[in-house]
Amino acid sequence: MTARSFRGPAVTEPPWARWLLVAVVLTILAILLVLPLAVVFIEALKRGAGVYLAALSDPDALSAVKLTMIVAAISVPLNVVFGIAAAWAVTKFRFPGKSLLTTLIDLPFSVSPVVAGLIFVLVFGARGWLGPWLRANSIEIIFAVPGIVLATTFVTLPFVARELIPLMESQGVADEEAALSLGANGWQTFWRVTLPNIRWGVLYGVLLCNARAMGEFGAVSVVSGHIRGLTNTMPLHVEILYNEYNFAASFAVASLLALLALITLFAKSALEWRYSSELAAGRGH
Amino acid sequence: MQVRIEGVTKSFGDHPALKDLSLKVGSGQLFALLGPSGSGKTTLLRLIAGLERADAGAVYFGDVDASRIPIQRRRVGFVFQHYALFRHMTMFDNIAFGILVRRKEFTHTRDSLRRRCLELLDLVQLSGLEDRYPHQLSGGQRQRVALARALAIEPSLLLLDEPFGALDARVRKDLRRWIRELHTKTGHTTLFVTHDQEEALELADAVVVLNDGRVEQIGTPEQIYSAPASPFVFNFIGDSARIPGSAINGGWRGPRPPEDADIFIRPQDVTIVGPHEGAIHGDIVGVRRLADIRRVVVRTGAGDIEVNVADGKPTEMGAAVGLQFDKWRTYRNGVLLQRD
Repeated sequence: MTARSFRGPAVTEPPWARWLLVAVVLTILAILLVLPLAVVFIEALKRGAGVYLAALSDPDALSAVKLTMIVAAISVPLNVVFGIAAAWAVTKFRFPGKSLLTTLIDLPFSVSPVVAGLIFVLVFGARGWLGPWLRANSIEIIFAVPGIVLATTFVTLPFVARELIPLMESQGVADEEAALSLGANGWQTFWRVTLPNIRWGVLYGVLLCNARAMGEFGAVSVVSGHIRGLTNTMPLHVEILYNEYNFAASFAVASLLALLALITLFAKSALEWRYSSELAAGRGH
Repeated sequence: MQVRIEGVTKSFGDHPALKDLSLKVGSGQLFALLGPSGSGKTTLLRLIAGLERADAGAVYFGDVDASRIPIQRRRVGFVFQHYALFRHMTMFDNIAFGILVRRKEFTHTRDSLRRRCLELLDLVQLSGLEDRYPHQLSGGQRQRVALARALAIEPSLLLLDEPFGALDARVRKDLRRWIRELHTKTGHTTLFVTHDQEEALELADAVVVLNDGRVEQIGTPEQIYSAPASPFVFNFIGDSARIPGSAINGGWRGPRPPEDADIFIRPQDVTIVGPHEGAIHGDIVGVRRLADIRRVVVRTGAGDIEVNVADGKPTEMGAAVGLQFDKWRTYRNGVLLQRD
């Protein structure tokens, strides 16, 4: 072993080139990531803690926070159930249409969120396919909470599944087969063997899914109708306040979202650091 | 319990894995399923366990058609190639798993369950390691825990898939002897899959040689080694050379036309003699050191033939030598013609 190999895989660039590259990357990071984040908190607190707290305890702001929580509380569990079911189906069974399913799972990532929102308006809206029937039965979906939940669930659909599919693929089916041969039925195998094997992967997916569910703007904006105190989520509320030139309040609510992002980032890194071997290959390290 | 396999056929897509295969394993016997990779041996094992379903044919446990018994109730102890220990459970919980999920069959109290699991750990010589997790154990220890877990359900049949495949040579040898002793002690009908002929010959009461989804030969290790029923078995069981030649009335008349029969010969059954003696002649083109003997390669008109040479005997590269055959087998169209 030479001293050189401790620096990692054969580095051939001269030192000045390395430092230049590092400097460029750090500058870009600072301008694009750190600065905006700092601005959010600075702007939010510029006029003092009193204004900050007042902005957060405004009834409309509180109702936006509440709605965001409700939406996340519904769509995240839905995505966990869907993600586990889809990953299970894709990795443990052979069936026709399997590769189609794998492709379809990624659809929400490749479709623009605005289009995703519009899809739901076209299906459930007043002039949509199901509009007349829904109105006849006085069910409100678009411009109401169910629409927001639907749009959020759609947009966040791939998170848990995409985390679990590579993980479960690499784990194989031997553990499940062992459980079956030892006499466990399907439920026992799932609860006692499969779920514990993928728990950190699920948590990782939930984390990312939750961050997106709370922060989603595009799709939710289309289906929400922006009714203050009723169908405004936090991101929508930030936009409304901003458009009203109420910058302090706008940044105050935004700071909550930024905080959520930081917590997510921290928890995600902690998970990667602690359980890298139990997360999907390619994560961590 | 006696296991009978009758006319079992199994394909994966277009690829046939087992072709009309039949086999009988007597109660309490230790059987080896031996074959190269792709010969169908693991598929056969998984089929007996209930992890695969046969396209045709049936597996009988005693007189019962096993396809009527779901895998959970077959009471087959299966040890997986990579053990498939539950990684989030301690050794104790791994072993207790089979008992806990069958609460209806095993009426254990907390104490008797504990006693039973510790007993099993003791049987596999891992006392005191009940609180360890799989990643804290060596390969050989994991293997033994996997075995204890399989034994916990009081299986009527024990199936081992490449039980020594993932272990290093030393551990492998120890474990082999230990499994033999364990089998003598517990007496379970046992089948194990291996691609290592040495393992199969040393361990098993009977060896089933599989090739391309079919049984090539079933016999005791002695029969398999000294009377291989086909050139494939001869070749697979140890090093060998094939020499085409002619045969009359089962007797081989040397490497001459018409080349209507082949003889197969092992390196230890060839002696190097003077260049004008022996059945076949050639030059020494290589000398290799094996663990306890030297192996000389002689290039002849019938191809390269490997010969074992005792230490002390001179072996010069390029020397012209004759080869004398002490023992061989003659096959015509894959069928054994003569026995010595």
